[in-house]
Amino acid sequence: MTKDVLVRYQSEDGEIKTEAFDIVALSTGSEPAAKAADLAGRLGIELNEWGFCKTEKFNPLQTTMPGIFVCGTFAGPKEISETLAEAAGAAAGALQFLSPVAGSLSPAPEYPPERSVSGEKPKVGVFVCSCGEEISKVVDLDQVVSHAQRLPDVAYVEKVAYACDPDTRKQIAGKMNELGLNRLVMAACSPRTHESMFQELLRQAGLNSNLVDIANLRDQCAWVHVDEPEMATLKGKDLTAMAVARARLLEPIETYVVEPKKSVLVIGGGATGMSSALAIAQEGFGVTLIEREAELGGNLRRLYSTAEGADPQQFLKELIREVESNDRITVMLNTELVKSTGSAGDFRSTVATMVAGNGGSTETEIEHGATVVATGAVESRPGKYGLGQDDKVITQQDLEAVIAQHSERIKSANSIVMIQCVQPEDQAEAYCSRVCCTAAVKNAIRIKELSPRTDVYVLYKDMMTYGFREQYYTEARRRGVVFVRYSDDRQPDVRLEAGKLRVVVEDPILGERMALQSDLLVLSTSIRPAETNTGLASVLSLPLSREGFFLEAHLKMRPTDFVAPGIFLAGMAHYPKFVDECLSQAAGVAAGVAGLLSKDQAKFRGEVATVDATKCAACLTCVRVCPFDVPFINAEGVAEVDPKKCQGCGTCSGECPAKAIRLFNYYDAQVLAKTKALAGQFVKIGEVAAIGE
Amino acid sequence: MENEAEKSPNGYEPKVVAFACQYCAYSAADLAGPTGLQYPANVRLVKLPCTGKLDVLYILDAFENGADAVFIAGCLDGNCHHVEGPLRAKRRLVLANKILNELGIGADRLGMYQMSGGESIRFVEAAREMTDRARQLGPSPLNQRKSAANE
Amino acid sequence: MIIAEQKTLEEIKQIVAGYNKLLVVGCGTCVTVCFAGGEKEVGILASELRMARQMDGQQLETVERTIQRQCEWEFVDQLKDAIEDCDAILSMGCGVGVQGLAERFPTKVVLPALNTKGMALTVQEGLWAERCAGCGNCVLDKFGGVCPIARCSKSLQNGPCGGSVNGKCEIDPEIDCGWQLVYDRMKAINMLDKLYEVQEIKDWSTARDGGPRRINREDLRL
Repeated sequence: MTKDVLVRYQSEDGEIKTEAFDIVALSTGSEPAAKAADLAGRLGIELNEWGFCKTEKFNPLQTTMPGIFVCGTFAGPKEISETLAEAAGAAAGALQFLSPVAGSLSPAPEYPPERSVSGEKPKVGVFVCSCGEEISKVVDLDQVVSHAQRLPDVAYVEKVAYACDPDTRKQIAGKMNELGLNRLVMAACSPRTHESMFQELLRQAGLNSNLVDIANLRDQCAWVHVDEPEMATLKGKDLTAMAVARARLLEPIETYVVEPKKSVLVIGGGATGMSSALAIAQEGFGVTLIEREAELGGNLRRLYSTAEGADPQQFLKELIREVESNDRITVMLNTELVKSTGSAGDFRSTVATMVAGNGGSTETEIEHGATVVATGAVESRPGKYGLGQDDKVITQQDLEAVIAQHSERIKSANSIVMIQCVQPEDQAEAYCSRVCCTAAVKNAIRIKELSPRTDVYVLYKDMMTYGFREQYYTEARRRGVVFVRYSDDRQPDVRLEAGKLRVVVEDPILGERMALQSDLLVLSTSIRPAETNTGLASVLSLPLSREGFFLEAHLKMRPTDFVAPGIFLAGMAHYPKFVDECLSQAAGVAAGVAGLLSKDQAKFRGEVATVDATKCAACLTCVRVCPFDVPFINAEGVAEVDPKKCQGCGTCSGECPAKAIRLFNYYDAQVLAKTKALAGQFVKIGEVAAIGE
Repeated sequence: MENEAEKSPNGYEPKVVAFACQYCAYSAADLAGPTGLQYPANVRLVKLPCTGKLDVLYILDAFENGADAVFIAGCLDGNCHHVEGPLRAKRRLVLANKILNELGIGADRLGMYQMSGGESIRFVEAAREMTDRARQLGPSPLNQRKSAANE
Repeated sequence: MIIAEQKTLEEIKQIVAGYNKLLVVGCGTCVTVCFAGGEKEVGILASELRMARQMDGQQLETVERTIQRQCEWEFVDQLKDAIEDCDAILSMGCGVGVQGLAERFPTKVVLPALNTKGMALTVQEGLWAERCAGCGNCVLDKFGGVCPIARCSKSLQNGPCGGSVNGKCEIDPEIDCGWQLVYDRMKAINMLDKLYEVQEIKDWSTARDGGPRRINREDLRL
């Protein structure tokens, strides 16, 4: 008995196969939470036919009850990053009602004035936390305590039960004060989760928040070495020594304070840009909305229906009217961004507006506190299958217009063929454009509605009508649309014979070649990044993905932020997506903007790189290696890093051949103090310069 | 200063130093416990803001101060908070490997692993793999010479 | 700038054999820029040498210093306090730097850690390529700003040799044929006809062949 799982299945060529697996994982899909209906009933909101929260295409975060917003998978299956963008968007929705009182429940805490520790010899207080018994049941903390007592510059060691307890923290702060301690080492849990708490403790003690190092005795020791208490104790002692070694060398951190400008530059006047502009204006901030084309609307101008049956043109008309009539929004058409400097809360940008007729342009300077990138993407028009050579070969976007404006062309057609997944030859990365399967299915249904006798064939590799959109696929099949699969190595062949299109495709399921006469060939071409992305990315110093779309700060957790503070991302500039997804992101951006600009002061921790001008050889290494293009050679001929733009990654300092760049909190001496502590070596304070700093 | 860490409870216990990016690997290491994973207590993490901050000197210094193996734990290519940290780190490892081979310490005592912040299993695998390797290879030749000199 | 490259560890180990306390001196200008002998490399090499010595069961003590330029007395003098108790100085400067230290500290052993490779340009981060051979009599006006002395393997002045293949030099397919570059450049600036001029045999006495060179500016000297 092997206890393998035997799976019997039919392969594409019809053969029945049996294979043995160790584990079979079922992708079971998601369904509404058990109590969703209960909750909906109590809130008085409607659910859709599948039991998820009902929303409208162009108002995706609004429930059927005004004032109640929805986000996340309660409104349908979705991906983590989408849920987070929606969460922010829903918060922005709620803010519209709350703006007069927003923030009044979170008063700023008051701290005693900060005592300077400069010139003082390090006096380290070590607090060893047992975390109840979480740490002490594995690590012998008495040994850690006695080890810590013998480390250099350690003036006080105490064992505590819960360092995170407010009273304990108050006592620790008191002890720091009473004994004149000036460095704190917490032998406790992870800095990832608790560093800010211990930094705050230092503020309470009247010390700079940065003078703490944490030995991660819980998450990275006790919890993961349960069966090795002796080794874990040894490690606990090492980690504590390493923390003390670095803490001795810690310096106070500076915070940069900026009074944010209460206005926003939104780049891109499509549905995303306009709706984020509106949401931001509703929060009370001024908006300059720039659009490089001569009119607002972007891709939505070319969309005449949605699969769900909503009317995009009606929505667009209304959106444009609202934007144009909002007195907080200034719209600038025929306008592009040419320069942008400054940082979160305080940007200065130059935009150029084309002057009609003479080909020249006028430049305008704009001051703004935040920037929103909503520049969209475009349907590609690769020269494949005769596109651009024969007017019977068109794209899905072209078909939208044909259906809406020249329905006679549809009605007279005997046969229409669509080919999915058509990507330009020069497209470096293959990716799914997300919207084209649904667009094809939607348009196939429209064709059948207009002309039931017209044969519609969809040649596809993989139909991806995800979420509720699956119903339209079913409907298309019900109406007689024929779906034929093709594979990458056998792409459809299109020929023009006697003025007629002949499409030959090999159906891998039937194993036969099909020849289709076609009056109209519709290509679902990939959505490609806007050509202007490269230029805009360089003006704003923003990263692009390998595919050429803008790259957000974190694929899952920060879908609408850039790593650079104060710049936000929404819509198809990010990657191809549906209108409702764009609108959710646009709302999410408005929340991010409010978070930044609604404060009177925006603070930035100075965990940044600084240049020692006396050592700099102006070799340009930092200028070349910085992933964010921050360092530059200044008028004095040495490298300079703007602390407000620096992201603190330390790439420049890791590469600098002159060791002229130091990254705050990661000075070589501070990092090396940890490895040296492993061998029981502790540098003498004052000799740090000899280590290469 | 007396070096207690060298006294291990049961003979040779390799000392493994890991330089970990705070965004991914450090978080992956933190999540090992809560996801029910264990790894050898031989591993000590040094947190970096990004593997782009890694310096060849840090690696050499770890060996000079008694490490039997060192590994770098960074983000996945294309998913680095700072865009290209692991790519930089991998380039710097080329030099570090060359130096370790020239010294006779051996580049097999140095490893690089990439993971997302949630992939605690990847961190645990890295910790196990490098500790196992250090066990198989025996004490770093530097440590062997040192203890020989002390006797 | 001057480019240089570190000698192999094996060679440096032999060079410093027998010395137990080394002053490792970096140079903060050219060799910093080409990642051969700046403060960063000083730290790495010092660590390497200490470990190499340890591997032989012995001890090496290192003192690490980097000065702005090893070719200037005022900067070199900054090392005075550090040289006393060192057995030898390991210079991570170019050949000029090593001699600068040796001349200034006549009773000290001064050793080189680098091989000096010439005068070059940073083609891209991590790649440097020679552009000038220092012949002492610049002919760049005749060749559209591409030097046949430095960039042709044979320093030919009257057209390429027979080893030019697809624009590359026969000695190394990574190296551009200098004459291909001269030709392309002259074509781009519409001066191809100038290449018909026959160049006289070059007088190499302005180069190293004429003995050690010096420049004497009376107007600058008191």
